[in-house]
Formats: sequence, structure tokens, C-alpha cells
Amino acid sequence: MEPHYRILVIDDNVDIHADFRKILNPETRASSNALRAIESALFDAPIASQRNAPQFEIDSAYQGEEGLRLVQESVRQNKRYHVVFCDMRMPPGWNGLRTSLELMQADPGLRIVICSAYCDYSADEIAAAIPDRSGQLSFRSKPFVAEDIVRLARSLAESCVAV
Amino acid sequence: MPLSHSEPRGAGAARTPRWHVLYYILAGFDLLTVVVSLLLSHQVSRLYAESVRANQRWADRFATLNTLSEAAGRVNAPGNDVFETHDAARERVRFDAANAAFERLLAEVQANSLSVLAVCHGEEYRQSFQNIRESMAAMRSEAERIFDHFSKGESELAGGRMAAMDRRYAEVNAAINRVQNHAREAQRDALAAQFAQARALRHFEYVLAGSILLMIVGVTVYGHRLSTAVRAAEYARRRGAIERESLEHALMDASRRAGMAEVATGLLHNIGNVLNSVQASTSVAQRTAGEMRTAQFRRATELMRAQGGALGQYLSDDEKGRQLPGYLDMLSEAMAEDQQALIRELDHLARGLDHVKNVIGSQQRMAKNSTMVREVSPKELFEDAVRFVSASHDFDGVTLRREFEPIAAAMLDQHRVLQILVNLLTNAGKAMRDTPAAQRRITLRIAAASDATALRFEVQDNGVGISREQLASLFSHGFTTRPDGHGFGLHSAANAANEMGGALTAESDGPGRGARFTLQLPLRTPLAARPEQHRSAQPA
Repeated sequence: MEPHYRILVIDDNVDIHADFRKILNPETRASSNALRAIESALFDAPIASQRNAPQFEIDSAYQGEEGLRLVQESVRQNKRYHVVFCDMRMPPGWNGLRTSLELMQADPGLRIVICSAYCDYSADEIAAAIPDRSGQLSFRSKPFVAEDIVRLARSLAESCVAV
Repeated sequence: MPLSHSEPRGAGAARTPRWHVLYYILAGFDLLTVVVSLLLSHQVSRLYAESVRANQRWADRFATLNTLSEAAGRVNAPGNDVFETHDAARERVRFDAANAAFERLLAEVQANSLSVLAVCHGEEYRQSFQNIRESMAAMRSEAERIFDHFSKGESELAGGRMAAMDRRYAEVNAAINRVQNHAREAQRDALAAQFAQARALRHFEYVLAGSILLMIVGVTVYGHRLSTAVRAAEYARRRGAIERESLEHALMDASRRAGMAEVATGLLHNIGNVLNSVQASTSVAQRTAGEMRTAQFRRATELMRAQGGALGQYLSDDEKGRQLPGYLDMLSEAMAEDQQALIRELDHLARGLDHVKNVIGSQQRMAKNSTMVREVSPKELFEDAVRFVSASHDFDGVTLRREFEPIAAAMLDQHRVLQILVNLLTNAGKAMRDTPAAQRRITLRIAAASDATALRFEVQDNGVGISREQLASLFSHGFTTRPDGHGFGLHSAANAANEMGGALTAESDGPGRGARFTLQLPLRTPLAARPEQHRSAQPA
């Protein structure tokens, strides 16, 4: 059984949510298992076992306030999120900075990635604004590289579980 | 005098109340001076009238005293005349009449003038009248004797008394003269008193003259200072106006830069988001291509070739061979699915790249003609603006309705008009955030004024609308209703419209009832460029 991680994406752009789902949870077809079974019989060798890829359960929020509600709910139900990807500019509500501060308070174990296509603040300014004691915060700028996001999500989620 | 204060230049705030006080002091002083001078003039005219009246009285008095001498002469006359007429009885009658007249006159004179003269020469004066009476009585008794002698026919004896009577007459006249002298002295005294009064008034006059001088100096100095202050205020006002103007220019520049920054920010955001999808599609396509079962397909064909001529038997009898056709079916199905997925992602990719190309193309067209007023197509300009904003999340599901009058070309500052239109469209999109996606509708209009002197771009939405209060301050600097807005947009847009000789106006029926923004610009184009006048409505 592969590990199972909970991810929350907070972004006002619908397309971005689709992108995250596409990147983190590549679609696997029902037919591929059947194909693999026949192939091992036909060719006398297991050609490739299914990748031991972690599964991500992805939730969506389109505003910072909504994201905070989901995180608080997850803490209450003890189904905490491992990683949050949060956009910087999300009019009309909280921006990424404010949202991150609220999330860190709601769930101190949460790993947060602030990502934005255009940022009003430099990474240094954000670091100055948010006291980040335990490496809770990471930064990525859009457009991001799919492999990098998968790697980041996995390593952050693992470190989160390890804590 | 408060005028002697020297006031520091430019201390405007502290100076105003002092000028105020100074003005009232000066006005009070002026009023006092005028009132006092009126009083003085009244006093002088009163003194003059008094003096004229007094002189009249004195003239009357002297006339009466002269009459008294004449009356005394008439009393004396019968005593002399009897020597010529020898009619003692008749002369005695004349004498008695004159005597009575004299007594009346004397009483009258004494009564009239005594009150005045008694003040200074009371006793002496009464004594003089007493002398007149005594001398008169002596003269009368001499006259009586003369008449007695005549009635007895003793004219010799009568002649002897005549000299005595005349002596008494001289004494009467001397007494009257003394009274007259007293009167002259009294007149002199009264005159001296009047002079003293006039002298006192003259002192007063000097003081008044001094006051008037001060008044004039005060008014002059005050007027001078006032005009200086007014000039200084005018100078300060002009300098303030110049400073304000340059500040306004700086603000305008800043808002224009902010407007450009808004366009640039929107651009980066749009492209960033689109590229993100492009990246995701690319990675999916890469993975799909990488996981395609081409190697397995080759092994299947190799397996078939290895059977040589026994392929048919292999497929029908061999345990593995019987699975092969089914496997190939599944494989082709899987490869068709892979192909579909690849096409889908490549489509997505192409759309994204196309969008980026459009956005960048618009930006380049704009940058190339940044300051030039040139002949442009209003329709294409509007479409450029739409391309700019259409990638935004706010335009999801928005129905665009175009009502464009066919205006082929107009002389416009493409860069600025585009910036304003982008701003209006962005606002319209944001105004409809709470409108259900299916109902979001923006109507774009291009129309020419009936006299073909102006061109109108209109952006009408059915979003949150604008309240009456908000309409009033909509175009003011820093106004915004959005928490992320900086309020530069509409302000700088309206400024830009004004600078191009046009106007930006907003209408709304109120909250929840949408809004319409109209950018009106002067239409400078040859009329030949505008064909027929009908409206063409093209649904989005």
C-alpha cells in the first residue's frame, strides 16, 4: 500500500487547480493492470511493476478564508493536510501572506508552499514578514516545473509525517 | 499705536487676527475723532451765535442808554424854552410829561440791564443810577423854581436859576455817562470771557488736528500694510497654485505609471498562469508518450514472427497464443487512448501558447505606437483590449455582446485608449464576480455622435452596479471599492481621457443593477472613411 497524502490548493484561478491534479495525480487507466497481467504471461517476465507512487488527495479552495476553514476543519476531524499550495494574489480576499499566517496558526505542523505568477513581495520580504521557525514555508514561482512540484509535495509530506 | 508693531513676513497664520484687531482699533479711533470734531464744530457755531446775540444785546443796551440821555434832554428843555415862550403853564405840562417818560425809561433800563451788569459792577452800578436819580431830582427842583418864578412874573429870578438848572443837567448827563462807561466795561469783560472760551476751544482744536493727523497716518500705514499683505497673499496663492499644479502633474505621472504597472501586472499574471497550464500539459504529454506501450507492441510482433508458418496454429491452439489477439485489441485500444490524451494536451498547449502570443502581440503593438496618434480601427482596438483581459479568471463564462457602428478608422492615441479600455473591461469583469457565471454579460459598443464629431466606446456590465454616493467620487484619486484596488485606475483613465480632449463618464441605476462606462473621444477622421450608418450587432 503506497503512502497517502492530503494536499490543499488555494488559488483563485480554476485552471491552476486542474494543473495540480494533472501533475500530482496522473491518470491511471483501468486497462493497464489487465495489460500488465497478460504481458507477464505472454513475455515470460514481469516487464515493469506499477510505480510505487504516493497518492495525493487534493482539495481545492479559491480564497484564503475558504482555505483556512478547510484547514481548521481538518484539524478538528484529525485528518490534517500535509501540504498547502497557496497563491499570492487572490482578490478580493486575503493574499498569500495573510493566508499563510492564518494557516500556520491553525495548524503548526502544516507545510506551506507560496506560489505566484507575479509577486508583489520578494522572498526576503515574505521571510521578514512571517517568522518561519521550522522551515514551514517554501516558495515557488509560476510557471512551475511539474517534476519539481511532485518532488516538493512528496518530500514535504514525508517530512510532515516524520515530525 | 499698534501700528508700530513690526510683523515678520510670511507669518500668515499669526498675522490675520492681529490685522483684525488693528482694524477695529483704527475704526474706533476714526469714529471718535469724527464725533469729537463734530462736537467742536457745534461748539464753535454755538459760541458764534452766542456772540452775535450778545453783541445785539449790547447794541440794544447802548441804544437805550442813548435814549435815556435824550429823555434827560427833553426834561431839561422846557426849563430853557420857557424863557422864549413865557408860557409857564404849557412848559410845565411838557416838563411833567418828559419827566414821567424819563422815570419810566430809567426804571426800564435799570430793570433790563441790571441783571447783566450787576454781576460784575453790581453796587457801583446801582450807585450810578442813584446818582442819576439824585441829579435828576436836583435839576427838577431847579426847573420847578424857574416855572414858579415865571408864573409869578419874576423872570429876573428865573434867569438866575437857569444856570443852576443847567449845572444839574450836566450832572445828570455825567451820571448817565458813568452808567454807559460801566456798560462798556461789562461788555469788555463779557468779550474777554468769550475770547477765553474760544481760546479753550482752540486748545481742543489742536488736539483734534493731531488726532486727524494720526487718523490719516494710521489709515495710510494700515492701507499700505494691507496692500503689502494682499500682495504677499496673492504671491503665496500663485506659488501654491504652481506647486499644486506640479504636484498634480507628479500625481498624474504616478497614476499613469501605476496604470501601466496594472497592465504589466495583469500581463505577467496572465502569462504566468497560462504558462503553468502549458507546463502541466507538457509534463502530462511527456509522461503519456513515455509510457506508451511501443516496446510491448514490438515484442508481440516479434513473438508472432517467431512462429513462422505455424502462426495460425499458435493463435488457435497455444495457451499463450490464444491470448495474443485479445492482447492486441487491448493494446490498440490503450494506444488510441494515449493518442487522445496526447491530442487533448497538445490542444491545450496550443491554446495556451496562442493566448500568450496574442497578449504579447497586443503589448508589442501598444509599445510600438506608445505616444503616436495614428489612424487606427476602433473595432480592432476594442478587440485587442478584450484579448488582454479574456484570460482573467473574472471573465470565465462572460458573454460578450458587440454593438459596433462601422467606423473604419479614427485618429487615436492607441496606447492610452487601449489602456483605458483594458481598465474598463477589468472593472466590468470584477464587478460581476458575484453574478452567476451563466448570467455574466458585457456589452461593448462603438458609436459615433450624430454630428460625427465624437466617437464613443461603451462598456456595459450587469454586475454589482454603483451607488449614487460612489458615482460622485468614482473618478477621484485613490477611490476604490475593492480591497486589492489602489484607486489609480479610473482616476488616471479619466485624466487620460481629458488630456485627449474627451471624457470618461459612468452611469448606473444603482447597486445590483450594472454599470455603463462611456469613453468619449473627438473623432478626427475623413468622413469618407465611414460608410453606412446602420448598426450591426454581432453576438459573441
